[in-house]
Amino acid sequence: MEKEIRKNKKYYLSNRDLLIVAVLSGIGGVISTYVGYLGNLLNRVFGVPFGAGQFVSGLHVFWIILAAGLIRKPGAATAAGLLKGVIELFTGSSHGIAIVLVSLMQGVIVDVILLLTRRHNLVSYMLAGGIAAASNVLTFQLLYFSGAPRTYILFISLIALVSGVLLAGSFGSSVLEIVLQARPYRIDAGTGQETDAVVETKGGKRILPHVRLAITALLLLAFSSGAVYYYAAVFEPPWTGPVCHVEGAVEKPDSFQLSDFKQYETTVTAELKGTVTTVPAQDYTGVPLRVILQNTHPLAGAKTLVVTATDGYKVEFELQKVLADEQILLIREDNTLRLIAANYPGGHWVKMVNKLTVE
Amino acid sequence: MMFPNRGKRGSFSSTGLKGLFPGLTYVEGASLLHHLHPLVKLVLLICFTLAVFTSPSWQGGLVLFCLLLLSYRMGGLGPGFFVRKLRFIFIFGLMILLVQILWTREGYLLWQLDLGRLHLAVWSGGLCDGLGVVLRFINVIGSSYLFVATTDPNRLAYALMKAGLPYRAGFMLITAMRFIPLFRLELALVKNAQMAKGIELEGLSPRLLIRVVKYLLVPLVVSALSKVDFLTMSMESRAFGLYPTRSYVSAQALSGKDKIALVSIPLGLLLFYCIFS
Amino acid sequence: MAKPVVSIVDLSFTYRGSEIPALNKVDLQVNPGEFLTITGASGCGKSTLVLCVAGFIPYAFPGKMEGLVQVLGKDTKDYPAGGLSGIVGLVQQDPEAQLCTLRVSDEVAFGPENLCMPPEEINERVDFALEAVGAAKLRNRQIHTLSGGEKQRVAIASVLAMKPLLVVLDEPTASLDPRCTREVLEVLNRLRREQPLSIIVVEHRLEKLLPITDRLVTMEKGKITADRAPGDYRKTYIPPRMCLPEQMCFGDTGGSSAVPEPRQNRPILSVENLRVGYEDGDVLAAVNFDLYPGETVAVMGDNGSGKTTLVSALLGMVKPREGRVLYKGTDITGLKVTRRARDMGLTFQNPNHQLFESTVFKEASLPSFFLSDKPAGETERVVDTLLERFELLEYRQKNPFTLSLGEKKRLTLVSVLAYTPEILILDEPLVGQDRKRLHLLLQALREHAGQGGLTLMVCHEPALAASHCRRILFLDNGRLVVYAGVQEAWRELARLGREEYLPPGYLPAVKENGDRNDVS
Repeated sequence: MEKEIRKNKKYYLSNRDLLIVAVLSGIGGVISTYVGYLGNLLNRVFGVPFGAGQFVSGLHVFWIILAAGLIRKPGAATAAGLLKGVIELFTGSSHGIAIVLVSLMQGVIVDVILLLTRRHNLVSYMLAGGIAAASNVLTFQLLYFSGAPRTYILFISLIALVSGVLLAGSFGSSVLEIVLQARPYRIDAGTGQETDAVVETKGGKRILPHVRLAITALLLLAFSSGAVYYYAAVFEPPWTGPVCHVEGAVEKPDSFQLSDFKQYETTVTAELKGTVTTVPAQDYTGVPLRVILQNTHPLAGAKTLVVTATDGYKVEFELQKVLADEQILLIREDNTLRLIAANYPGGHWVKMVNKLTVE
Repeated sequence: MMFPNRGKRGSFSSTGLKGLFPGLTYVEGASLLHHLHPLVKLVLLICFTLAVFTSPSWQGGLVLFCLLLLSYRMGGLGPGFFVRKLRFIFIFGLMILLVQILWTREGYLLWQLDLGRLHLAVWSGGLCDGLGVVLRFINVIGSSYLFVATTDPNRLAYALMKAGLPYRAGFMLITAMRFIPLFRLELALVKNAQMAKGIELEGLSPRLLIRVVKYLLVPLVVSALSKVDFLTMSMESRAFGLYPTRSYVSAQALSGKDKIALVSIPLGLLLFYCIFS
Repeated sequence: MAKPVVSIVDLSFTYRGSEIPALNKVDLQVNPGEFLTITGASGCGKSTLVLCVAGFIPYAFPGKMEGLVQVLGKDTKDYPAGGLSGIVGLVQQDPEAQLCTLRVSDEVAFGPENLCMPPEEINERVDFALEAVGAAKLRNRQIHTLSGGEKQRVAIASVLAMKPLLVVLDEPTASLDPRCTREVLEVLNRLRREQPLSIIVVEHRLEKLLPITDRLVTMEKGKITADRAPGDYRKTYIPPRMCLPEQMCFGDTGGSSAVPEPRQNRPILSVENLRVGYEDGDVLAAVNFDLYPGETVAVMGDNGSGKTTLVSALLGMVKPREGRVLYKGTDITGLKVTRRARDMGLTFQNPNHQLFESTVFKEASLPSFFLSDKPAGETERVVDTLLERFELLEYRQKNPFTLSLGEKKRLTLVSVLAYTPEILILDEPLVGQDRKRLHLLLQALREHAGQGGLTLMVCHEPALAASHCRRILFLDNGRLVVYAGVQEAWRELARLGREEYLPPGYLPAVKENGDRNDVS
């Protein structure tokens, strides 16, 4: 006669679940602190302020995946994320209290994704690991670098994503498999749910290497094509030349370099008649301001154009006049932009142009 | 000392890598900050962090930074300690500043340099943004570390539990902290075991490197989990989880100073926010 | 007579997933104030019995339970989950895995606090419990700074603070060194004399426990085979740890056939004036010794006396502050660990720290892969031969973490033997082995010595050192206090008052013809 076994139904997470979270967060905290420093070290090696450390960011999520995979109750990953963050704070994380937020965020994401996919297998771990790892970039951006270029954030997130998929998802799943086999604790106690987990893992084992290989290849492909695209088309080193912004009442605010409009270049002859200095008539080659402005589609009600220089000097123009005037050019002078306004007095020939504001 | 990880056993792991890890942990002391109630300090830390993140300008950041230096003095640690422990943050901050300056071209041109095709320029907007970010960065990390350095995590956990945190959650933190010295020791042991088997981290191919990381983590995880069952039994046999609440031996009532700090500092930070926004 | 504290009637228990019952029709009564010792080989069901008494079976372990377990006349199944806490206290083997707070006072107060007692009473109980185990001085210490014995005493105190009627201790000294073992046993003796408690100790090392026990219960294959007063134990009981192969039984010490004479006079491993330390001071100082080919040497001493540091320094895992390590006369102090490991094979005390691979075979060949120049085919052949020899071949494709402790220990030894280093450094290699396997291992070590190899063995078992080692290095507080042949070492240790390190039955006065029948 088998007596009914009384289970500890008092709590959603049993004492043992809590302790699993505690010990995993404990080691995770210890190792992540080291990994964090490793990340900083990588940054220094690569000579960038941040980003290179993202290559190892998956190792932070690894522990959360492990806790989720061992306990298999929604909420376990969140608990592990929060606790690990607090432990990291107290064991000397170089991110301070921000790490608690970052780690908690990662836990929540792992929980949500595992809840959505409704299964515990390699693919769901890879998905959860990847997105959770990438989330750390966004959280940090939110906290510190709200103004960083979007492409750069995307690029770093992509590194983190790949790291998360490989180190947290794939690697985590294989370690989980070993640990479940090793049975360091009574896996078959309690609900018996964990026993099924072992079976499931074994059942899925045949296809695992292929899935892993395919996902890795896919990621590498996405990653490298992303990188190529970024450097070929989007990346714009800050030291290439003077840049000017168009903003205000326009449909498409823009940042441009003069070379973007090379095909519209024309030459005009103009004489500068200023109050102090006068430059006799000579040839100037540049891009008509009209072209640049039309490219951004000024809004219907806009009336004025303000041209601003880097030293804060401002001049106002009537927008309609400028749009009809072929004699206003933006030219390159040394390494700055200069406005040539043939039909205007010398005060309107703005040097070191930085910004065009439509109002 | 809370974590004498410079102690005989813990230091096992840190030898060789010592210079790298500044060891941002609790520092025993008897200063005003050490004596403040942990919960009060937590509230203050959160207020300060909020102030840092909402402060829109670098001037505000600078004021908060000065406030922080003052607090370090109050914590009996001194600005020198701050600089020594957080040296790497400053290096890091400097690099962020450089990037911000290179990237942002707004405001006034302050300085420029032409090296053939290379064109470097410092704009006032970039400098301000950069300073703002760096100060935000240093302020958050600096204040967090001040909190960690002056707050015994054990006291904090007990204080949180008494303030209403379910005790089973509080003991997760305490138990995790309890095992950290052990995990450090085991980490060192496993590293030694790797070396004794002829595995060296230098000169490994990436493929092998992943394997070695696995060699490091799997024994640690298995060893940690193998303790879970015994720990559960030990704690449950001592009535852990039997009742929804528990009592506590040590009383940690709020002192007068605690109350003053609790009211005045958030008010001060609110005032600060009004001025600088 | 008073009502029994525990009354077990016709108890059988089979774990889920197992065919063989772990307990088979067991009857047992424990009376108030009784000190009961349960003994038997590993797997005899003694730990299962303890779990039944403490109420964890069937509540936490699924399986089929028949019969009746009553505590204070009430069926354990009728107590609410965890309701036995406060009545039955449980102390387990590993001191690390049963303390959950950071300070001693918090740990001892943990139980009463969970019972929602008022603070004044908790304080009283903490004082009482620490006093009862003689640990009042430890009250404000950090847990992780305690020694193993101190931790175990705190664990006992934390149970006593619940004022239980019965304390169950499951192999409380199994992971302690001899000094800490003595410490804990003294506490048990004191509790027996001073506290109105029933105590159940599960233990397989009986020699020190028998004088203080009221009743000795022997178990075998889930059944109780003997239940008697300990007076007549000597006739029937053989301590399992003393089960040395016959030809090596205690007494065949010194230059017996079991210990081959060194063949050469040139030392294979020398240590000159070694000093090792970490930030807070020296752990090892002024250590000098020469070891010769063909020797087997025991390294003994308390935990924390510097044994592990010595081993680490030999392999170069820690850099000495002073002194040299010489291998065959060549200074190797500056060489890398991975280079030294070619000549020195190391196994750890806890094999879990050095199991890395996913199968037993891969695990056994891993060091050879990095450290040996042999072709892969050759390694495979050697490893398979060794696995067969050490009775591990059937597990060839199994995950090494699933093996038992004894099997893991043998596996780590195989992995080292496979690449044939000249020096073996083994930390407690013989733990968890039965008589037959012990014989296998000792045979292998003898062969290693016969081929001119050196074995350095960290060992807590004086009987083993006596029977199998040529010399003894005894460390105390970082100093090499004894460095001598076995017989002389015993005399020296006796003089230093370290009786716990003397072989059982060793009496200085009658050492030449000691009362050996007592133990064998």
